[in-house]
Amino acid sequence: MKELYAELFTENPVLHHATSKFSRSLRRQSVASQRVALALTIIVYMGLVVSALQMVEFVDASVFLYMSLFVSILATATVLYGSLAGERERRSIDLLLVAPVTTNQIVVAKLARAFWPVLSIVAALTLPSVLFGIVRLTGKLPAVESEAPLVLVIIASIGISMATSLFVAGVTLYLSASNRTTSGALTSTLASLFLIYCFSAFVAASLGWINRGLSDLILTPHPFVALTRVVFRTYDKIPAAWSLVVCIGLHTALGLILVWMAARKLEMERKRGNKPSA
Amino acid sequence: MLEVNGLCKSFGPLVAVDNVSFTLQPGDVFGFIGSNGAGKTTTIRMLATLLEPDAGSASLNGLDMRRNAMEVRNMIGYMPDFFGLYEDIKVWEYLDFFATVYRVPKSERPSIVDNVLELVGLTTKKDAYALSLSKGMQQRLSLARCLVHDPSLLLLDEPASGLDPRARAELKELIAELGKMGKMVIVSSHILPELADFCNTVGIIERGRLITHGRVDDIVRDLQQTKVLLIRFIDRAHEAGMFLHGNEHVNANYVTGPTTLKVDFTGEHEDQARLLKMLIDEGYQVTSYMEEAIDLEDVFLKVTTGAVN
Repeated sequence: MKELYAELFTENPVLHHATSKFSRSLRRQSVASQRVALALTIIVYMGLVVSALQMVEFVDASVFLYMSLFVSILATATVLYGSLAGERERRSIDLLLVAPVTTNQIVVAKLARAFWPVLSIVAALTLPSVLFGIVRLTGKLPAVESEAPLVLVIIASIGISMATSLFVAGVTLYLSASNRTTSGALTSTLASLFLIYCFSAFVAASLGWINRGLSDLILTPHPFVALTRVVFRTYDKIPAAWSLVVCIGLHTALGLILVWMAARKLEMERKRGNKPSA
Repeated sequence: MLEVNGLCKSFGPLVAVDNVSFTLQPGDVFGFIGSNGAGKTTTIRMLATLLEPDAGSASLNGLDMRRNAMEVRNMIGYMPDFFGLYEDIKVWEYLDFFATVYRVPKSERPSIVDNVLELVGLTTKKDAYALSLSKGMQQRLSLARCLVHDPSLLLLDEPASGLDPRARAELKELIAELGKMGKMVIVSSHILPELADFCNTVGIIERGRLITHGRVDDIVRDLQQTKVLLIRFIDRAHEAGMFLHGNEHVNANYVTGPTTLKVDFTGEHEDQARLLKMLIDEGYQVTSYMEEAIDLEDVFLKVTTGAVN
């Protein structure tokens, strides 16, 4: 375990470079136009938050938590869909595979690219909900029927968002490792996410007419369902905590398995290769 | 030292590389010659540890390339026949990235980046974006990338393809310089006359099989057992050809023009002089009589059949 940690994090040159490149790219934001854009974004965002706070009696603050979950899913897929397929498309993948780094190290470095953007999105979109709760001075989220303590709701929401992002990252990286083009990776990622989150919900909802238990079982790990159960405590037969644990646990486990599978996929490519054109 | 023993690789029914063996010593610049689809790239990719061979082995400086792939990768610089550049990355950042990947200590990276840029003549482009460079410069940057970790074996797959004559000449000088630095270099190329200028050993591959390999001079000498005499006359070249037909040292002769005759000759220098005397005594007016020098292109054409996989 210690060796694996060292391989993936402390002694991963690709990861080290990816993180230092991130900080370098932040330093490059010194260009005036980028500063202006950043300042405008902050002003607009703060304006939105302040206006929403003034309508605290009428606005359901949980909407920011759903937005956080939805945007983090999209952001993860957007950041990562081209990570390995793009390397293959520009044919730079060989330059990495010929280097003395393991495929695990390459994939973890790619995964790290999504970490900061997703964390920023989750933090930025969770903040209004926290503010709503503080302004109301009740320690509760101003959501219809919500009785859950604000701190627990926020922690659960961040947990669901991050676990879901890890799973989406796993799906995206695996599909990126399996596709030869970025467009192929994007299409298959969007199709897979639609099937996993939209189509499955539709099937489960339809099944609810026949068998409520089976429908609940399918919906239990669904992140939006788990978040709803936590926020509104609408758990019927399935307690919110159980739904939360299943959602976070399953997404994290499957996410890690998919990341591992993406690394294996690259390793196979390194061993078997593709028939060269000449 | 690089030792390649019986490398084989198939893709389904296609045998891409069939029992390829050769050895290189430090300082050897090995020209890998073959038609399209002959198996050059597949062999190079196997040596770059990007493909596992179906059979055979290769070892670099005593380390087996399959069993010690990670260690061996540190000793290899691989330049594919494409650039593989990242967008939005400067020349120095590109080299710094690969220096990091090859675990070059952080304190040494800036000086190494400067040194390799100087070696390939890109110092002035240090802060330029890699994608903004011309094709020749990108090729040199690609070569610089191969050098950041000071490898002992360089695998250059078609490094001169698509370059203009000046860029090709510069690349040629660079590769020759690397050979002098004691590095083993394997260069695959179609431009045979250029390979002859800086390769001290060559290997000719056809349909996955290494037909011949060794020092350029040795191969030429082997092939020159039947040297070609180029004889020019004022006229009657055809008649002279008929006259030489049946001579004990003449394998065959070809009239290549009304005044030119090529003769496949097996004799020694004395026999060569005697043949000239015979022609003159018979009244043929010889204007020039010379042994045609054989070059790498002739070697290639002689030993290959043109068949492809």
